[in-house]
Amino acid sequence: MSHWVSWRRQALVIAASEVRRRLLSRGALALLVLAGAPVVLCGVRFALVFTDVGPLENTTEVAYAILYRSVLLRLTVFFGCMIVFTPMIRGDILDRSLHYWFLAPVRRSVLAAGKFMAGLAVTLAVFGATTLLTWLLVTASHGWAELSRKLASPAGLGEPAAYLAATWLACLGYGGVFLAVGIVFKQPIVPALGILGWESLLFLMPAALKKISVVHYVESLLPVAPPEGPLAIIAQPASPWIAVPGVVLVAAAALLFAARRLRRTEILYGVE
Amino acid sequence: MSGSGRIVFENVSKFYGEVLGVNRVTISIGPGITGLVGPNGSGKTTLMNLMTGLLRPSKGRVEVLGVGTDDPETLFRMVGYCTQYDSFPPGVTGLGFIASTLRLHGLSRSEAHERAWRAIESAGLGDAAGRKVAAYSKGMRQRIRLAQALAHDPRVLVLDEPLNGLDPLARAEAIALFKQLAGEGRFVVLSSHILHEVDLLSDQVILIHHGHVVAEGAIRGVREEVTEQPLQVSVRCDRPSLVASRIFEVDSAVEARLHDDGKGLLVRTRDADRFYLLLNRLVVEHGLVLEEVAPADDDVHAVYRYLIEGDGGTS
Repeated sequence: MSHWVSWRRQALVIAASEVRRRLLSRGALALLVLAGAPVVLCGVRFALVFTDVGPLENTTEVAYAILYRSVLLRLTVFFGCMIVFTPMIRGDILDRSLHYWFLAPVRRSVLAAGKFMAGLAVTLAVFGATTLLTWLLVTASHGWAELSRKLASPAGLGEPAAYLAATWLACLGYGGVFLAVGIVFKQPIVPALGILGWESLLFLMPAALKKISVVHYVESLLPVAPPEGPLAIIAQPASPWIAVPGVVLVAAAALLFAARRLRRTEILYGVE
Repeated sequence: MSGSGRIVFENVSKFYGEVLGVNRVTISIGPGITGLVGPNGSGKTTLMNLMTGLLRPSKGRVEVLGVGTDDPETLFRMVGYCTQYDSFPPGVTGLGFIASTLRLHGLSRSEAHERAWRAIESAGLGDAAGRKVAAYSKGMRQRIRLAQALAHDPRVLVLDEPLNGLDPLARAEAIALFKQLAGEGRFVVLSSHILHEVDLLSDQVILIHHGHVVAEGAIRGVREEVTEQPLQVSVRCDRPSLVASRIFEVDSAVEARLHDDGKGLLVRTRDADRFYLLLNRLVVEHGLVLEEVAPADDDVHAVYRYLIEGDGGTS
């Protein structure tokens, strides 16, 4: 068996094991609350404003774009990725089980990759579902006929697909960042809040600084640009050809960093 | 580094910040059972963690059968480590715990489950295989850790206090198993604070104190090197007073003490061989009837007392 086949197999075993653990952990409840809250919010809105009179107004598309950016992207996906990815290593140190991974015939880089894959599998599935459900609930509030018409058109399918792609890209970027944060920091919430603060104030930043973020690239994939507000410094959105490889590179760099740190990590439970 | 067929520490030091873990350790461990002996905090677990790559040496180099400890992919195909950490991944069952490790060794799901079953049954936990490890008793948790360390059939077994929490029957079974593995030419490195168990088990010992290796080797050899402490020989015979009266003809004799029952004596001598010659002479010339002649302090306990506790008294 070649090294690559062996590593892939080991990474998949680690990922499967981690997915089970994440779904059975206490963090899973917080994850479900985070992922479910926007769906409930949109469900309530759907119940209150449902009208079967169509056609779909442009304002609804903008309203969803605002909801997506301010709730789904900034809160749900951001904190969801934090909840899933930061305990991947830190949680094992805290419950004193990291040594079992270290005592297996597994390269630490493969361990990092397996854990990252597990986090991605969970977040892509959960937040992908949240994205599609919220979009459906908001769009369907103008009637089933209108929804069917929109879904049947190529542009209609493209819109939820673009939001889904943005969500997945955000999971990839934040996932990598939070995996690395979870290895370096004993209290990951502090740097996480720092990152959130930076990304929240990004609208005030010049174009060059906007590029040092995940959200700048993710938002460039949105099919409808949400309004930036009067104080914002407007910057040209990144092209998808830059945004997607850019975030992939950020995630790869973070994963590489995490793998290197993990190689140097020692089992010192007494001092953690 | 020489000794690719051994476990080798070459001038290894480990510091936890400014706190000494082990200092300038140079040892070479061969097949068979090697006991690590030392008081709490002496560095036994640090040595084991260095041996398995859970810790990185601050200085020096560690190799296990020619493999560096920074190569887990190769190392843990031949090493099993039963740690002292009494913790497990949350929510895991006994069977799942072992099977998931075996899958990382490249076994298919069915092979891993089959082998995990065998390991669990040999650990006497067949009935509890499907139960969560968190609900196991301390002894069961110790057994499942042992089973996991052994499940992939390693050549090198590192066991940190492996008999802790085991009931007498399980202890006896574990001891028999370790001896069997050593008999097969495997490397069994274990630590225990129960000295008579180390004595019973070990082919050689490594005595550690304050992070330094104080002595290493076969226990009798180690004892003989402690020259500042006279050897103690217990003699059971029909006329102990005769032996006592002649003992100081041998200038290396230090002390003779009659047993309370009058049927033997304890002799302290710096040259056991000359004392044995004297005994032979007494048998031949005076018809002394010897019942038993046995060294009284060439066990781990005595060596521990002399080298670590600094006890110079007689037993």
